[in-house]
Parts: sequence; structure tokens; C-alpha cells
Amino acid sequence: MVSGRTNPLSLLACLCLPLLAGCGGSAALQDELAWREAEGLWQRWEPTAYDAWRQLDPKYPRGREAKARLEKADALYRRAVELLRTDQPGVSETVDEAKAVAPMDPALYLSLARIARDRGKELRAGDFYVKYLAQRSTSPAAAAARGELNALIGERIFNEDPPEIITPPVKPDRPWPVGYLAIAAGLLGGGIAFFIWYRRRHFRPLREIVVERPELHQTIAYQIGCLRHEFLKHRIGAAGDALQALIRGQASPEQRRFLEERFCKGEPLLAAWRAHMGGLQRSLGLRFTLAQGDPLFRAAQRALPVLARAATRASPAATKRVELAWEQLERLDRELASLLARLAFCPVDEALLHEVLQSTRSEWASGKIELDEVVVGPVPVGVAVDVYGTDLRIVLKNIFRNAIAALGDSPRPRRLAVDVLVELEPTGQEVVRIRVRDSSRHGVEAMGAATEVAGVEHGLGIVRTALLRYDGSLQLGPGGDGYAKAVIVRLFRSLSGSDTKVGEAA
Amino acid sequence: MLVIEDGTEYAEFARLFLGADFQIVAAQSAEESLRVLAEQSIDVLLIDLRFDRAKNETLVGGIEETAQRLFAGDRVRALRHLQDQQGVLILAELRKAGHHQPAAFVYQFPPRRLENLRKLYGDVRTVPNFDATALRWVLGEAK
Repeated sequence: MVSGRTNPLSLLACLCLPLLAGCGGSAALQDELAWREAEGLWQRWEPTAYDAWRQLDPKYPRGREAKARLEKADALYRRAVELLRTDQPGVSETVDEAKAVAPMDPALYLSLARIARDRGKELRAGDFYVKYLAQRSTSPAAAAARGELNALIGERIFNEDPPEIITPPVKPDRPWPVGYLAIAAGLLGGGIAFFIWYRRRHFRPLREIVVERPELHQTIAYQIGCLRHEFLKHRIGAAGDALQALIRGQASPEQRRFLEERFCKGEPLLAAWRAHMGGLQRSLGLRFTLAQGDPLFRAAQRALPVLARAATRASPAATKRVELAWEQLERLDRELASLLARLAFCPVDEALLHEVLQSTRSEWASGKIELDEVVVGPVPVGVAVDVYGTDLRIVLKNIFRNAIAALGDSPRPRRLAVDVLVELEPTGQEVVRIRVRDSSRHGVEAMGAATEVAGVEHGLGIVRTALLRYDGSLQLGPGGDGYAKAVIVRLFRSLSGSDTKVGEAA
Repeated sequence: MLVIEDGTEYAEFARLFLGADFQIVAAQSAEESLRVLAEQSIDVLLIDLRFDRAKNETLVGGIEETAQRLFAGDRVRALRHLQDQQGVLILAELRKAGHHQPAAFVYQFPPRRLENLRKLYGDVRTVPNFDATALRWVLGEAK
């Protein structure tokens, strides 16, 4: 069955067969390769598919098979055209049957065009004429087809003259072509708009997606981790020394064998890559096509066949391309590593605290409670934790929500405060302490010992679970300074780059 | 050189590759290290960071106090933390007892953490992996 998507088997064949052919394949192998290409054209509904099939050499098995199938399909297509011409039922079924066998001879588009024209379906007819002329522009019937098409639309725009010197006669008694032109212009504009919209929606660099979709950070991180470890490290990175030797023209037979095993044995490189990319794209919600939309991934995907070819037949002229391919993959790895490091990294600053507080206050229940005083800070500058931003926001939002709810049934003034302190541990590590205090009548004692030990009551279970993933903790304590209680989140500080002095704090 | 670790790998490595430059003495806990330092003249310390094979009772740092301070009373996580960071905590004990020899770790600390360690414990040196030449250079400088 023909489908709009590329058959994976065909892809594998396309990847491997050139390598095999390059390794000294026979004419039969070339026949197989040509067959795969022709079949690929058909599966992608390329208009050149028919001619590609026709060109297969019938001396070889694939050529013979193609010829037989073309003959069988041709009979079916012609029968369908005849059924259409004579208004008989079964046209669709016959075409479907033919489509499952082989591509259609573009010459038949002329018959279809004439049938459509005779029935007054000008647009359809025009489409068929254009398809016919695109593939059979030099055939004996082409001139007639051009004339018929020109007559159909009332303009000589499909003759062989350059379009700019055409001065189509406008027939005052036939105003309809103007309408058609308007429709065509509208369709063209719509098509362009759709194309732009489609590209913006589906062809986006991963970095942009990451910025816009923080909720996907964890799953993206997992998929990138798999891609980097299983593919870029074990399949590509491990071959680094041998590949460099190959580029220098100094690869030993062992190194060449190693490269061949890495790149050509087992799961083909491109298939493994596509599997990882599939996982990553699925994690983005099946909406994005990174292999085309992100220049980094696109370049990496193009680099893979170069490496695979180099492993089997490295010619001196190709070494530059191999070197470039290797650099593309190394660059992808570096960029992904940097992206990964930033995914699980969240600055703890006043902006974050204000953002989460505001978000909590925008909730229906929390927003109804009037607060007399909200104090944010002090917060040391340059503090960050190695935590996914979404997780830290969940943690803080839950704590704020609980504190505001507790203040809701407490006497005024209702006060809420949050501050941050960095503490130095004897191990040289630093701990970030985020303290949320409130003046509710539910003090530490009221919340109970169970909460203090496990932190799982009063809605804090989700917070504790989130914190456990990052070796963080949650504690309740006395508020001090007129506050009834304090909820303290502790997380190890990210040491990947900041310059706050330890002890700078509330 | 006093090698402090929970196994024997560091000492074996040191005897094999650094034996020509140093006389190697080994210890497996803070207490044992203090005893060696009291009895012998030691120029440099080579310390393992993780002590996950050490007996719990030999670990320094205080499980209860660490659990309360960092892990909301969770002793299991506190114990793991002490095991993971035991080398540095042993160094803290040695410094408290007045032993200020240069200390080397085979570990790549983030720059900021190394800076913190030097603020806390003075002469702290590191090599990222078991590279005898690098270690000899780092420790030889100290000798």
C-alpha cells in the first residue's frame, strides 16, 4: 500500500545499499539500488516516479518486476479513464487498485483533462493539463494540450514564450478568467500563509521550544540524555580517535575495522538516529519536526551518511567532508550538553518569588484573601539551584498557597514574607534556604509534630516529594519577628557559576 | 604521605606509582588518621572523597545533626550524605586537631566549591583522575 510517509525499510535500504554498492557491488546491486530510488519516488508521490520505473533495466529482476507491474497498472488506469469517460461506476475502485500496483503514466492526464473540460470542470481540467505538460512537455500532443489549456483559461500563459512578453488578449465577452485569476491569487496567498504558519508551528529550533514550554523540560532532558549517551557517545564519540586517524590518513586496519563496526554494523546509524529523534519529537507532542526545523539537528542528520560512507571507503578527497561531519556532530553534542545543564537550573531571585506569588494570588481561592503585608526579600544576588524551574515553582506555589489559606481564617493584620539565605556547609557545598513566613493563627504547634517530621500534611506532601528528587528538604519552624511560623525549603546551591558571598542573606 | 580511604585502592596506586617519591602510610577513618598523625611525621595527605564501604560508626559529621540541619530529620539521606562527603569531613577533623598539611583529592570539584574548601581548610589540591604524573606534581610541590 502506498502511503504518504517514507517506508523505513526503504530508508534503510537507501542508507545501506550505496555503501554496499561502493564496496564493489554487482550490476544486480545497482539494479536493486535504482529500484529502491524509483520506489521511493512513487511512495512520495513524486511525478517523476513513472519515468523512473520505466527506466529500470528489464534485464534484471527488479526491472522485470517494474515492467510487469507498470503494464498491469496501466491497463487498470486506462480502464478507469474509460469508465470515467462513459460515466460508469467503479472508477475510484479501479484507480485504487491501480495505485496499489504502480505509478500512473502522466500521458493519461491529458485524457483526464479533456474529460474534465468537456464536463465543464475547468479548474480540474486545468490542473490535469498542467500535470500533463509538466511531465510530457515535448510529446507530440503537448502543443495541442497547450492550446486547449490556453483556450480553457483564455490566456496564452502556457505557451513556450517567456511570461513577461505575453500580452494576453482580454475578451470582454468572457469576464470569468479574471475571477479565476482572483481565485488563483487567493489560493496562492492562502498557500503562502499556510506555509509560513506551518513552518512556524512545526519547524522550530529546540532552544525556542524549550523557552516556550517549560512543562516539557524534564521529558526533553531525558530524551536528550538518551540521545547523547546512547548515540552521540557510544556510537559516534567512541569512534573519535579512529575517525581522526582516518581524517589524517593514518588509520590502521584495526581502526578502520572499528569504524566500520561502529558505523555500519548492527542498527544503521541513520535508523538509530531517527529512533532517538522520534522519541524526542514525541516528547514535544508530535508537533515539531526537529530534524528539519532545527539547523543543528538538520546538519547532524546530514553528517551521519558521510561518516557511514567514510567508514567503508575513505578517499582522500572526502576527508574534508568527513571532518566537517564530525565537527557537526561534536557541535550538536556540546550544544545539547549546554542546553541540558540549563534545563535543570533555576535562578532563585526576587523575580522568581514575585512571579510565583503573583501566580498564586491569581488563583480564585488565594486571590479572595486580603493580605495586609507581603514582603519579598532580601534575596542574595546570583543564587541558583540545580532544579527544574517547573518543580521549584510547584514547590513554592504550594507553600504560598498554604500560607495564604492559613491567613484566610486568621485575624488581621495578615502578613506574609519570603526571604532567601545561603549557608556554607563543612563540605564546601552551599545550601540555599528559602523561608516563607506567615502570621496565621496556625503556628507550628497547631500544624502538629507529624508535619514537622514528615512534611506530608497540610498539602505539603507534593512539595516534599518534589524536593526529594533534588536532595532538598522541607522544615517547619517558628516564624520570629511577629510571624507565627516559617516553612523552610533547603536545596543545594548550583555551583555552576555565581558569585554571591556565603552568608549574604535575610 | 598519609592516604585516607575506605578501601585499599588509593594506597595501592600510591605505592605503585608514587612509592619512589613518598613513603606511604594508610588510614581508613578520621580516628585512625589522627592516630597516625600523632605518631608520625606526615608531609601530605591524599584523601578519598566517598566512604561508602566504611562502617557507619566510623563516619564523622554527625548523622543526627546532619539529618536535622539538611534533611528534615531523614537519617537515611543524612547517612548517604556523610558517606558521599566523608573525605572532606575527615579533613575538617584533622584541621580542627591542628594538622595543616596539604591535602589532595582525586576529584574534580566545581571551582566555586574548591574555593570554599580552600577558605575552610587552607591548602587543598585536586587532580581530576588517577594520573600519577599530575599527582606527583601536585604533591611533590607540597613536599
